[in-house]
Amino acid sequence: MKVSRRALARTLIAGAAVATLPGQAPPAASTDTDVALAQARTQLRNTGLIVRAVPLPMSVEPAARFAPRA
Amino acid sequence: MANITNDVFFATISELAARLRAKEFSCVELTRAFTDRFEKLAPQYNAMALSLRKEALSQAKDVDRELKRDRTRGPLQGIPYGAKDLFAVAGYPTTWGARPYAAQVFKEDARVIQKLTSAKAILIGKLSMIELAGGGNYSSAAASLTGPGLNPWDRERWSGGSSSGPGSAVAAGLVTFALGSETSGSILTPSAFCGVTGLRPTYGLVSRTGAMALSWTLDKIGPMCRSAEDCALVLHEIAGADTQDQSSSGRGFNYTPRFQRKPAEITIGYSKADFEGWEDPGARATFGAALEVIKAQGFVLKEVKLPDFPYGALLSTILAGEAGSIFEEFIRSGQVDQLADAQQIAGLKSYLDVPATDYLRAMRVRSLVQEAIHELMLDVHVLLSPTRYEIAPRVSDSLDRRGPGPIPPAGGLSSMIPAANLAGLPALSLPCGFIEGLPVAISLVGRAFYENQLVGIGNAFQKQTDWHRRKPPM
Repeated sequence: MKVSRRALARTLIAGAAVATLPGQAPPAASTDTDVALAQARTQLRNTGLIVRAVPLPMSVEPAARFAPRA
Repeated sequence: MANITNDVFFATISELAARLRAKEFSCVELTRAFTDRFEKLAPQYNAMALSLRKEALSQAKDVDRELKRDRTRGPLQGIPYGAKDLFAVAGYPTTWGARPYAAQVFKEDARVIQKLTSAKAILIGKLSMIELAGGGNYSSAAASLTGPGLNPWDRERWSGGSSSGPGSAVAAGLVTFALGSETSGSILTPSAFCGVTGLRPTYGLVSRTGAMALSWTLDKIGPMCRSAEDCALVLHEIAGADTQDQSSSGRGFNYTPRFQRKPAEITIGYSKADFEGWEDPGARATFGAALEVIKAQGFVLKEVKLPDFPYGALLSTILAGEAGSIFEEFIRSGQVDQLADAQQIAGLKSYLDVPATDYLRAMRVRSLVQEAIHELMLDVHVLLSPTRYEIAPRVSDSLDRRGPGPIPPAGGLSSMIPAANLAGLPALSLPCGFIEGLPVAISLVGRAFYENQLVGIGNAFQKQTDWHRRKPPM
């Protein structure tokens, strides 16, 4: 396929422009807040894994009225 | 003008009540002295959320009028106390220890405040706390609107949380007793770290109406005092049915010291490792001596193990699901970002991701936990362990890492706090000595609604020891 120099130049310029259009900028570096939230979510998931590892017969219901056994 | 001597600030409820009735001082004089002391010293421990001097003096005048007519109401009449800033006091800010709620005001007193007002106890101030009772899993003692709670025994050490202010205030003689709350350790921890006696009642015994909710399944309200008997006297007033509180058991509490079982009829479950297994000689000697005092009373001791469950993970999951729901709007609105502790902010945000199946699974496993602990306690009346397995950490240290201090022994009953909170059982923390100059304590966990038995053992222990009477250097 033959591409003219002008067409090639237009393609190259458009490709460079696309990279800097709003919404398509490279992602910002993670903030401390994001890191802390990611860690908290990981901890929650890990805790969930521990809970899921406890053997649980199907018949066991949630402790209904939160009342302690007297 | 009566001369209020220093010993008044460290008197028990009964001692103070007797001196009031003997007219050594008026209630107004007593209240003024306590309020002066509270306003002067509480900020040194970051223990004060709010002084209620004007209200307190008005209530004290009422008490004096009654006492003049020999109208006595009970042991709490005229006794100054403080309340964790988690309890609503009508017309005054109730901050929950958190900046976003600094201006929050309720129109009605919390039920426990109403009950103590009826008993004519004098509320002299609101006490500081960890923001939102620490529900998001905080990493720093400074996770509070009022800064880190400082320990009266060493102000470079933490007073414990989340009832930081109550722990400091009782230890430093700023109030005769305080109201705290516990979801998982928030009464027992500051009680242990500050050398005061704390009682976490059975779930559902004390109304939570008007108190900040963190976890419907786990929250309990209880007294922090100078003695086991004082805890019973306060519980006698604050316990009872409340139709407005869905968790209310409908039961009350009557302190009945004369109907105690003989020690030989009470079996106490414990682990030898918790008392003899410490490598640090100071820790071994301190906890060992506490065990010997218990043994010398004639109680039957039996070695036990806790049933094998991941108590911490279960409690965390339940708390996450419920706190996430309670604070859902607070989190989604972004107000959560105004909290002091970054880990707590992240923790609360993550709670919105708890799968319903995880929460329900934890609640189902909780049924198994309750059953298993109920089985264990068919053989023993009470479980005994150190309240905390470490001394108060430095305020500057991260709470995520164990600080310097004696290393706890392996095995033992170190999961007692989450285990007993999941099961809804009562616990009494008793000061039992010092390690590296800082208070430590033992904890007694009882059967549901057996607070009288816990207090009976506590009274016996405190007759033989004086740890609960020690005063911090001021």
